[in-house]
Amino acid sequence: MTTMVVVASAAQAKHVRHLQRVAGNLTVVWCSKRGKVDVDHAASIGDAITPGVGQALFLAPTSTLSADVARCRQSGIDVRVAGPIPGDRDMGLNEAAAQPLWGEPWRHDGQWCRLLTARRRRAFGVGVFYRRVSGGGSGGALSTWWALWHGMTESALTLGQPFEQIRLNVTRVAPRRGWHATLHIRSTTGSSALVGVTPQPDADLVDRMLVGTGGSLTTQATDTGSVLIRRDATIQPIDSDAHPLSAWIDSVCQTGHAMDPPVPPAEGFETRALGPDDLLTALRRAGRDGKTIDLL
Amino acid sequence: MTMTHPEPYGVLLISFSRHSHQRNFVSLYAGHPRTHIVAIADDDATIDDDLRQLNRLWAQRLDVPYVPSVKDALARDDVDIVSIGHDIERRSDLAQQAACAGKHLWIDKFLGATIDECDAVVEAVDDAGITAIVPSYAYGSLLRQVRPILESGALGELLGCHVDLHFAKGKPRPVGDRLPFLHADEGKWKYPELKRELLTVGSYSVGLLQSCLGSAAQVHGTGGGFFFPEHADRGADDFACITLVDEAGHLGTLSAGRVGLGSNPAGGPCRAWLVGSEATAMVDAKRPAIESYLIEDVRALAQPPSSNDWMGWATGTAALHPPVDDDPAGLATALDDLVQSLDLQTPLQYQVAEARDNMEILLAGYQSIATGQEIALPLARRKKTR
Repeated sequence: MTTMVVVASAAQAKHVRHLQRVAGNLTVVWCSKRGKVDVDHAASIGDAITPGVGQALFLAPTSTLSADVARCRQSGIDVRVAGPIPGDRDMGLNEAAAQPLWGEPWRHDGQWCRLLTARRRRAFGVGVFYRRVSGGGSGGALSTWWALWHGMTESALTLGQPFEQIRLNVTRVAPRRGWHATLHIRSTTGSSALVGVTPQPDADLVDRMLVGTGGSLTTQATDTGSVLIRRDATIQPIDSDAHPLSAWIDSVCQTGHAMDPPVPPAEGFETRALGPDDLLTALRRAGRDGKTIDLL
Repeated sequence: MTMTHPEPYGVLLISFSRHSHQRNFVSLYAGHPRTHIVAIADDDATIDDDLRQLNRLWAQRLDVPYVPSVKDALARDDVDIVSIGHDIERRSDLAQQAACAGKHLWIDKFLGATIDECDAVVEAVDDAGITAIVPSYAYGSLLRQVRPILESGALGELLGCHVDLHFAKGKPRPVGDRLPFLHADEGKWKYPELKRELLTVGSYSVGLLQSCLGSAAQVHGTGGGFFFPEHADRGADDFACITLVDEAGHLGTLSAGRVGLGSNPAGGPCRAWLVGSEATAMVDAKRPAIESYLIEDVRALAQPPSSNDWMGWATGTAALHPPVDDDPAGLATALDDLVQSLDLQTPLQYQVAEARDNMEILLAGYQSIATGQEIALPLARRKKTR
């Protein structure tokens, strides 16, 4: 049995536990703080790559992500990443691979899939507005970048209209933590999308509202259907097992595909005009300068 | 503390314009122990026959005199508060007249139709030293739910505030060709068949952003997506979005508009995300609610709106999730604040200068949508202010 190397943040401990159940032998490289999981860990990808490692799964971005991915591939390790890889456009990592190396966990979000099904009903009419709010900004620029990229591509596919204007705004507590960013998007038909990334860690818990000429469709991340009422009178929603990142992990483990299910690529903007690296460059500049940046 | 005015305050209602909320204020003044309605007034020579009849009808209904001259009405000794519910184009002039006459003001939503008109009201109120309340933005259930969260400190540093507030009214229909987005610099906000909805609805959301964030420095917006052919045919907004950046770089976004009858069980979403360094809160002003699925109400949502109120300005159907809050718009809370301010000389929660700034943010949003540019505040004035 081969070993899987997992790169994860402390906030993703439950997904590491999930991987323990579905994948077996794991070595975890924690981003900054260590998660509360009883599992083998290594300080770096270099330390984690040992004989017997067959797969590497990157659940969170790190400053060494592209080098780590390249190193894994040179070592013959099958790599999948839950978001874009910095510098990929120049390095051609994704294009050189037989399968896409990186994917978009939101495509596995049951709430979004159901929303898209309803949106495709004739009764929904034409989409006019999409609001998407998620976490993702806790880890600084890179984690914010992933969350924004996912928010933007999801918005494009959900509205299903080409984008003609995207404006980025950023504020932050510090360069490496506490980022809050928004994308304000306009489509060629005048529809709008507002994508917000908060400084909280979970980028895959998403609130959404899609408003069309035939009605509205809403999902709420906290609406798990189960609530715990404690003896001290505090009330707490109980996490659902149906987490998009867990669903993506399952899909990767079962099919080997990072970009599965093979729904059409985002239609809303031309990725050659605005690729992940363009967004990352703009995000860093907006974080530094605090100015509005026109992406399209 | 002693009250300087032991008798109930006499309220003069200036006009029952179809586009104002004066009719909603009547029961408040009549029911509050410290206010009573003493008269209704308008300048009869300047209004249409429909409004003249409507004003008189209300006077009969309330059993108070109708005064066909605002100047004469403002000369009455029994008037302490003037409730201005006239068309937006008349409000600034009426507010200035009333302030000059030493009357306190209750102004429905907008001080005037342009930023210069709003500035003039702020100056007149300052000069007269009277108390003036704009009740619409700081007292509703959204703000009342948000304040304790902000005050708790649980969010850490507040980095952003994001609001979706829509009216589920009117009947969307297919939209054909649309005109370029109509600018709003001239202060024309309504037409016989429509109102500009970013102003009408977005002002509530701006009220929340003002309460959460610092002074607005930059604004950009998007519009041009339509629900109603009436709006598309003029290029006038029925829906739009704004992003606001305050002086500290904190972020606010809002979406606002009229999105169609039956599109939301509570009559339209009214929710906000308060984004802090330590936590993010999602606040739904339409909760707590009851879930009321009465078949007659469900059927009513499928019916066309009233033919003489197609956009649902004055009529509506029952919500399927009616909120539990007895004062969702906060008007009763606002009247309590006004009375307390008059009785005890305490400051109001929301001043006319903030109402002026509210409109300035929205005007910047309109400019941004019309030009495609980001707009810096403050806006240029046509008239120099002091």
